Amino acid sequence: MTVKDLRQIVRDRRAVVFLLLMPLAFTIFFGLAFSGIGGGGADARLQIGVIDDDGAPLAGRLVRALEASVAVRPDALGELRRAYAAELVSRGDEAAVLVIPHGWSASFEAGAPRPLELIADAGSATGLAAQRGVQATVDRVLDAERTAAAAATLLAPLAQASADTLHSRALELATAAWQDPPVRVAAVQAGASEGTATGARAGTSAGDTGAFGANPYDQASPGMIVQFAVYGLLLSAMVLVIERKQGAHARLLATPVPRVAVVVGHGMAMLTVVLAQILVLEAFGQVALGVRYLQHPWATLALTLALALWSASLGMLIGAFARTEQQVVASGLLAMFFLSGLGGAWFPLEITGPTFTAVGHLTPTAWAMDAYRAILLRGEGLSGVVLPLLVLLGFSAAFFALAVAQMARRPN
Amino acid sequence: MKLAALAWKDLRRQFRSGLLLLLMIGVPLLLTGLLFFAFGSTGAGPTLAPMAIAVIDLDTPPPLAPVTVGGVLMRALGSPELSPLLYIEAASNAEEARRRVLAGDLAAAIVVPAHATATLLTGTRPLTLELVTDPGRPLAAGVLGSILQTLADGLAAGGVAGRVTAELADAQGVPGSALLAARAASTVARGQEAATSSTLQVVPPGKGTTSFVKRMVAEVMAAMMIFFVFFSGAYGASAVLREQEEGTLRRLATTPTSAATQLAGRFLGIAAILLVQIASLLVVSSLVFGIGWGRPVPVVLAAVALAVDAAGFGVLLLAFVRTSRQSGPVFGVVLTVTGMVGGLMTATMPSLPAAFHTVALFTPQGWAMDLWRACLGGAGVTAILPALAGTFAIGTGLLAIGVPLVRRRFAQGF
Repeated sequence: MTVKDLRQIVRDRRAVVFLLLMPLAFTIFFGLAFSGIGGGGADARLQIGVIDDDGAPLAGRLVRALEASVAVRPDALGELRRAYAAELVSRGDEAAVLVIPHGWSASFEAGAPRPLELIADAGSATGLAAQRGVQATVDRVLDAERTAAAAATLLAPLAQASADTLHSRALELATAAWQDPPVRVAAVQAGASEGTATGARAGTSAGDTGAFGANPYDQASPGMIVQFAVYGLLLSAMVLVIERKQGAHARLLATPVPRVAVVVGHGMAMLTVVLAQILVLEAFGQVALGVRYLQHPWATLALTLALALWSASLGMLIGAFARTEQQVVASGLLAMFFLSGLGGAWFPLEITGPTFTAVGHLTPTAWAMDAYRAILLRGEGLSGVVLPLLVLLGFSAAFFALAVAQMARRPN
Repeated sequence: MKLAALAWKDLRRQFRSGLLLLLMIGVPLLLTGLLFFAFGSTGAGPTLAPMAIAVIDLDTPPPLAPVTVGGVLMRALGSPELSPLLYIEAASNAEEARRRVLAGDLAAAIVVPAHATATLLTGTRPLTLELVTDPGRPLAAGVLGSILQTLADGLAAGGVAGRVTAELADAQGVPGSALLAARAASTVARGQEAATSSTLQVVPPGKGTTSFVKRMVAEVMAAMMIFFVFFSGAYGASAVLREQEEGTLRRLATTPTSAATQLAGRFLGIAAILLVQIASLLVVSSLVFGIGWGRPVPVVLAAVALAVDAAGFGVLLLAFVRTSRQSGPVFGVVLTVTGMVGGLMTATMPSLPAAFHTVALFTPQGWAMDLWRACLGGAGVTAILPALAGTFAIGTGLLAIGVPLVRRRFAQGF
């Protein structure tokens, strides 16, 4: 029975497209898309428009400091009107626009500084990141100015050089000092070796690894595996429906073949197909995309088996309830979209609210993604993925039971 | 009259199927609702829940030190400004903190090294604060890293001032450089405290500007609408295959109705189905999600262009499919891949590589997405003309290629 189903599936040329080509294409596509978000790209800094209405040397120093920032990249907008600048931010062409108002430098030097204006959507993650990046640079530039002013004020009565000379020299020293600040942050991942802890550059932060981790495929690869484990079972479920429509299933039940053998045979075929699919995709991820599936091979293998089992059980369930091939396709698409969206296959649940995360964990896909992240990002072995595996097995048992009950109730 | 009759027949057949209605109307709304639920409910787009962190202070400050590094960090991290983002939990030592971070109990741990305060005050070597992060939560790591760097800069400011003043005093031969350095550090620290809240004023992009979340939901809805309108266009075109298999197509060929009329009637039917679908999605999404689709005339033109685009694509696909059983999977694959390349699945991702937009314009969905983005931005007819012209051109081009192929394909009917 298993071999019969497998032959039917493999004979269909669409199998290669559904099971392998599409998941590979999606994985590469989303990995490339994620690589431009927060890390990994040629210049992944947020682009900030800058309107300099001041034109004084201090404003120039601020713009040069923004150019050297690790977080933002200034984009000089010349004499752009403020209203159009707001539109650039609304459209997403600029993460934010910094307006240096006329007289800003003079107001700072006079001791009554006017604020700089940052046009940004503070309700968005991008706007917030832009605000932090700009604030950090502004603070360093102004601290250098305060240092120069303080040093010149203290030393002018005591030194031979003029106050202006002292101020210029102090400003040079302060600006240079901020290139290598005396207090640094070294970000190290829990569980990483000691050697990596001291490697951080001054002024960098753990954010330099990117929003999806150091390797954007750490999200895209397992995400697409989970998504297409659902999509791929369409072919297997279709075999069940066609067999029932053509009457072959009823004829099979009339033979001495035990009913349980028929059901198990179909299930084994689905399991084999999905298992092979996941293994190929994991191998591709390991070899071509640098995703470390093999750092804990037993954990990965156990997860692969549990995911394949759950996917096969879902295929059996759809095949048992669907009456036509169109229903199989529609059910499969619906299952794929909702389970993937809710389960963190498209984006990490880390960035959604706590309610969504809780609801997402009502789906087996969320637990599968948790297990993948535990293995790939936390380096956890078998003991770290026990709970997700148990959840997947529980869902599998429930889906199989429902499928078998439906098939027994309605053999035709 | 015959044209209308043929179109009405196809329209009724399509809308009789509950499953199809679900896919045409229900699923795009549900998927958009899912993303609204994921991000829109917080009002702030992609965000983080408040994070638990631990601060391990291994410092042994010198006696009479005016401030300690650990004390400054604890006060700053526990401030009301940061309370929406994080809260401090107790941890007995660095090892326990690292273990809890790895287990996911803590988002991060900050370790203040031994002699931190002395290092900062003397300035003889850099002071390094260790931020231990959860490898499973890279976004949280980035945010916390950014916050800690800001606090570190605050600590550094006094040290920089002292170092610069001392160096300058020594260069000028002024005695008492240490005292002068301490006074400079104190002056700068006071100036910093007074100024931090007022150096940068954040201004929203403007009145009437859509918030980030609303914009994100609107673009996702537009992407889902385009995806499922193309799906409906393909499915509507594939009705011909079912009629061929049922034999009604051949019977229709024996009637006095010309092949051109039959084909035109089918196209009209598909276009009508798509326009009804688009109108339904626009109205319902506007009511449910509060989406402002833009000015009426551009929206109507965009709807017509989308219908032509999707119908043309469906007719072209029809020419390459042999049976109705084959049509589902083939259409599914082609529409999914072209939808992906066309940017429908990455509609709201920030900072996408620029090449993605260029590649998207090789698909009809990419042009449609540009057109609807322009409408959502409130653009007028003149502003949407390039995208509108591109979308119409592609749609009519696909029809021009697809119709002769379909006529040849179904030579015995049509």
